[in-house]
Amino acid sequence: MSFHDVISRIQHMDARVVRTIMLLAIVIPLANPLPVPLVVTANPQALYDFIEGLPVDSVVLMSNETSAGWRPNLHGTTVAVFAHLMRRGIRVVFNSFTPEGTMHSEQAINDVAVPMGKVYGVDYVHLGYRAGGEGAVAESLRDFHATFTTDYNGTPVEELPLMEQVRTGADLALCVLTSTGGYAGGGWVRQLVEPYGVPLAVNVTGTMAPSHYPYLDAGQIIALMNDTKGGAEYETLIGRPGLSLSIMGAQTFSHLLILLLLAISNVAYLSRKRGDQK
Amino acid sequence: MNATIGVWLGAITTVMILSYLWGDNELFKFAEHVFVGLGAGHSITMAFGNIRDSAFKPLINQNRLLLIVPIILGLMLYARFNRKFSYLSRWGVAFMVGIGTGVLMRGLPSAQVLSQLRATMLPLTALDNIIIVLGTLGGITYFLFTIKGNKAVSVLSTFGIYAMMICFGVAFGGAVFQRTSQAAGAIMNVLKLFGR
Amino acid sequence: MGSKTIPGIIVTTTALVMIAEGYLNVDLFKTVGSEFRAWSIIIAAFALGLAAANLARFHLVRVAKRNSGWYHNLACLIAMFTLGITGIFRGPKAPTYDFLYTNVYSPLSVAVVALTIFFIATAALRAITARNAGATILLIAAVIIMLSNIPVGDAISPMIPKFAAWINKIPNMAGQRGILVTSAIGSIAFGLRVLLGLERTQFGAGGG
Repeated sequence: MSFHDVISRIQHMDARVVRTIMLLAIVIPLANPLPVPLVVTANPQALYDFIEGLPVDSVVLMSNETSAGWRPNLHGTTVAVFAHLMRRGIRVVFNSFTPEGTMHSEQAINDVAVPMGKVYGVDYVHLGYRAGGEGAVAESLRDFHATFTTDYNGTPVEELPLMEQVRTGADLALCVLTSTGGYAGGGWVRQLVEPYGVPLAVNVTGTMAPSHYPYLDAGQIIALMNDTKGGAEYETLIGRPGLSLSIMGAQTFSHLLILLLLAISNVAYLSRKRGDQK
Repeated sequence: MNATIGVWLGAITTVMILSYLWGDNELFKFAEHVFVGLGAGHSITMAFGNIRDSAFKPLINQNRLLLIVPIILGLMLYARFNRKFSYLSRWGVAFMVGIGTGVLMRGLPSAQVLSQLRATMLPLTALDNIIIVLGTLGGITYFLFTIKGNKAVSVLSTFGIYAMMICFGVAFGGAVFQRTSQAAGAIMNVLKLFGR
Repeated sequence: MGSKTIPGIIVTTTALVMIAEGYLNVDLFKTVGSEFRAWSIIIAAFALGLAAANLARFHLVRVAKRNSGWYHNLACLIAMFTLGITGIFRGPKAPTYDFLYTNVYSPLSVAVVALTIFFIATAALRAITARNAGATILLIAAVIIMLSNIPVGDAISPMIPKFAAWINKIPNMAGQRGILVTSAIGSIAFGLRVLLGLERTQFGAGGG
């Protein structure tokens, strides 16, 4: 049997075997977690430093435009950033322009604000969801009270002490956007950063992060949190291990497996090409 | 007790979906249909809340009678279920398309064209700057100048293609990371059964 | 008047009001623009319900006709109406709703998207090869990024994470900027077509 035959057989093995190996590559490190050495990179540090520099009477908008399936990727970052803001005594307004983003916000509130004994309506508010995409974003930033007449619990927004100081986008010190698609960071650059000059930090998935680098380079966003890695680094910065750090352990073996599979595929291709040339 | 039932449900539903890795089966189909149904149920809840809070409450409490117009346009969307009156559903769609188009068009020139081009105007004194300028111009050239008769355009387009290949490679790396995190999240829902 | 004429007028009018509001400091446009956006929120909420209604109709027909696998369609309908009715009458903060969302829907959602990595693995083994210069560059960039995302990259060489950061910040950013600017120009051109009534595809086939 030639080398080409061997490598070809490996390349065409039953897909179920490949998937099983991949499953094991993820299950084993999760079941037997090892500490993952993590170096904090520029973007999480930039967001951390920015929040550290915010005056305590600031109000920050956390807009969660997510779906339930992306919880492992983004929830850790949301919780870590929210915890940091709550620790500093900075007030937070949550809203969402996707139907499932509200549940993401509620989970963050239950994970952070409730155990910390924060007061709803004073320390944080959850405005809920509005349909309508970028048009709804634009309208809410023009007038929060007109767009969100009641909060997620049905309380009139006028009755919430925090909302007395937040009427338009201009009243925000920072917006932290968590997004899984659609207009994402670009939409908020158009509707918040350009008209109101409010700093924007973006928490997006691994596939979306590369497309936000032009905004980062142009100074239109102040920090780009990349998937679980950004969350893990932020959890390290604030000393609050959470979902993101617990997931990082599974990355090593799965990445090594993908790299091995790519190597096999390309060796097989080169071997086949050499055989054809002969 | 509820927490235990919840953990079991999460684990069982996860295993049902992951069973697809070894071939399509009835368990997967069942779980998939339940997933779609629950997603739609959540959409119904959110839609109801929005319509109540954005339309009916201001209409009744604040006397904003003009809101009858979007309520009617919204109800007209459902005319698509009737073949004779389905054309009426286009009015509501048209409204949303118009708003979306207008909001997008007024923001794009500044945020996505001028600001980005301004950020590309860099002195060509460092290699990084040269790569940024050539990569940006190359990408724009590749998409805008589709008839390639000019050598300079051709070379610039090729540089743009290579810059974009790097983008796609970075995106692939990001995709592997993203999807691994999701798989880890799914498996953690099963490992919770074992106290992990 | 054809069935696409009135929608065409609606699109042009609303879009022009939005654009005028953004560029002209005229109170009338601001007031009308704001009102129109409030209307779009309401119509979008009805559209969200429409998606669910479409789905319900599809599955109801399959259950009624007892098509193959109709019991799955029934399960879909039961799930939809259970969560929907609970949400409407008790709200999304009700314990039952929260329980179903957190312990059934959320794990299902994560599991569905999680399937992708396994197919990426199969594709990596069979399909992703360096067939030409572009594909080679793509692969090299992907390998460097993947190595930088795990501690192994740093263990092999501290230059790998630095090189990955440089790739993200310089060539990737440049390529993405080219795509971004071009897509913005394309979107503006498409928007102009919509404004001028030259683009009617969003209204579906048929009609005048």
